[in-house]
Amino acid sequence: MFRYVLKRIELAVVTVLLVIVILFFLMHLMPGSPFNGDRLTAEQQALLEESYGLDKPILVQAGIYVKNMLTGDFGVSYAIQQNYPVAKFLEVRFPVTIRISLQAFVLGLVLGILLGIAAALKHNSAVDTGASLLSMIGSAIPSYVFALGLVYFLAYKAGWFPLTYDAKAPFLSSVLPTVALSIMPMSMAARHTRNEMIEVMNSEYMALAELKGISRFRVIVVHGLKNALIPLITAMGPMILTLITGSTVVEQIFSIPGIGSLFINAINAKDFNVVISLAFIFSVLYIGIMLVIDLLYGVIDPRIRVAGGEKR
Amino acid sequence: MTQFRRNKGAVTGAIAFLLIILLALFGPIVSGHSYDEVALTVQNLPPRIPGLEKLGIFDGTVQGIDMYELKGVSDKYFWFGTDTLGRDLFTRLCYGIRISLLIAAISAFLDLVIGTTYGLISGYYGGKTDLIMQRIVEIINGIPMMVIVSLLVVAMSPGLLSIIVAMSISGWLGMSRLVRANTLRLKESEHVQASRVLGTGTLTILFREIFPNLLSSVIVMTMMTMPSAIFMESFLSFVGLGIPAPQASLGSLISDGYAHMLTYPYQMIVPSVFFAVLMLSMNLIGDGLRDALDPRQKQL
Repeated sequence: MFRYVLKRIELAVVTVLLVIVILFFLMHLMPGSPFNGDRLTAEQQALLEESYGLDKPILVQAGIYVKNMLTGDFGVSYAIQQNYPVAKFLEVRFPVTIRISLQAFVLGLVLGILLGIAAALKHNSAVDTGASLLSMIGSAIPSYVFALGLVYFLAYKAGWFPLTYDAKAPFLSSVLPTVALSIMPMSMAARHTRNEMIEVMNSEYMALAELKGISRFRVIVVHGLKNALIPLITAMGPMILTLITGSTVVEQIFSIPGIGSLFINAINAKDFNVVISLAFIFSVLYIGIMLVIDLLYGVIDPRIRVAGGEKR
Repeated sequence: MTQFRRNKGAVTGAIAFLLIILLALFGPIVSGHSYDEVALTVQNLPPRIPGLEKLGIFDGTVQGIDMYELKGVSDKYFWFGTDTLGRDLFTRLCYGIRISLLIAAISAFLDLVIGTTYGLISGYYGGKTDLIMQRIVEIINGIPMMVIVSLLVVAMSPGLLSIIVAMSISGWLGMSRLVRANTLRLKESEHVQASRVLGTGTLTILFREIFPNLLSSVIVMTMMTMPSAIFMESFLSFVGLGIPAPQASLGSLISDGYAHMLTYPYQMIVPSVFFAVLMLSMNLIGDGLRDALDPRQKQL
């Protein structure tokens, strides 16, 4: 177990380092400089570049960059809000994104599991067909399409919710984005739970549990659900990934002051530092979550440990 | 094939998909408008479809006022209305579907070529080669695709080419894993061992002995990558990195429509509906193919 954990952590660390280097060089490939548009003389431009350290050799810049990133110093914004530290942006915006994503993830997971159980227990019935159809639609159509629909019908036509994010009513204005984002995890969770549950219900130990005279509720929840939910952990990686991507666009639609909308604004403003920092944050977030999921799965399922993290 | 035909969802998906392709191919011919013709006299006209207008829907009116009469173009029909520059939305939609499908097809093709070759080599040679190649995959996999794609497109300036390049860099990981896992299994099988003993070259073994056995799962996987390519493109459009105007993709049409959602809702609703139907139909086909060809391959 120890070796497995070590190996997995090592991979995560190497990936993070490589991500920083790749991001740095990618950003240097980008056209234009943040000072291009201004009406500056060549000397002024050189002075500005010097003060931001943009005149040093690229490898030196990269080295400094890796060190700064790891110590949490993301530099300052060039364009969105000049000289404003990127870390300050993150401090304000990160919690908003995390809160809405978590809400969506939990809501989707709970609803999805319930839907999956219902579908599995009433296998091949109208409930099952309905749930399958729902999860098919939910996993095929991107979350922002739902977000657009919700904004138009529930916020604009019905007027039940604010059209854009209102900092004074953080809960009410987070309802629609949460619902829109939760559809994807819900569909994935429902589909997984249903398939696993059907498989588990047909297994012999379930028949034994029932024969022993344990109540149906206990059989389903304690014996069935526990075993059906374990494979769901592996599905969480892709779920979280689509959630991250989805939240970026959904934040833009609802003007939520999170890191996703900041990412979009920074790309449009060619604000190098902000874009790199956010890409770094997204990657670390993703790598960290994948690490936790893999370790968790290693704890629960010993077969993974033995195989040294090889899984299909 | 019979099993695919028995699957109601898959058949519905296939029919919807075919209809959308027909629309994309022949729509611009029958619409009588061009996709980039700017006409300031016909800006923001609501949808008006001959025949249906007598039923009181799609009749070109907004709150009882006939916008077509107001602008003095009562003789014209824009089936899905016009956008803020007076371009015919129906024609633009057809071109948008074309571009989206083109992106899907090219990225699926690249996925097929890169992912399959990578997986075959990694799985067949094994040992150090496999270790290094899998390390690379794990690292690329560690970076969210959204980050890779948007950074690359920024670096290369937005356009069809850079979108395709970006997606071919990160889009083949799933395919390579699938092919590698199957190759590992197949290279020990008797027919492969036999042809190796007979002295067949490695390339021939890879593509004549192993690849044909993978074909069904590869087809299923390709069908699954196409919607994700379309989704990625639409995501880029929303970020402002999509297909540049006057060209259009489904994603850029939705994001244009979103800008005028409250005043001219049809500009957003029409492309969104087609986008949703297209995504759904491709997923249904993919699921149907999986159930028919490769039932073991569980989907995540």
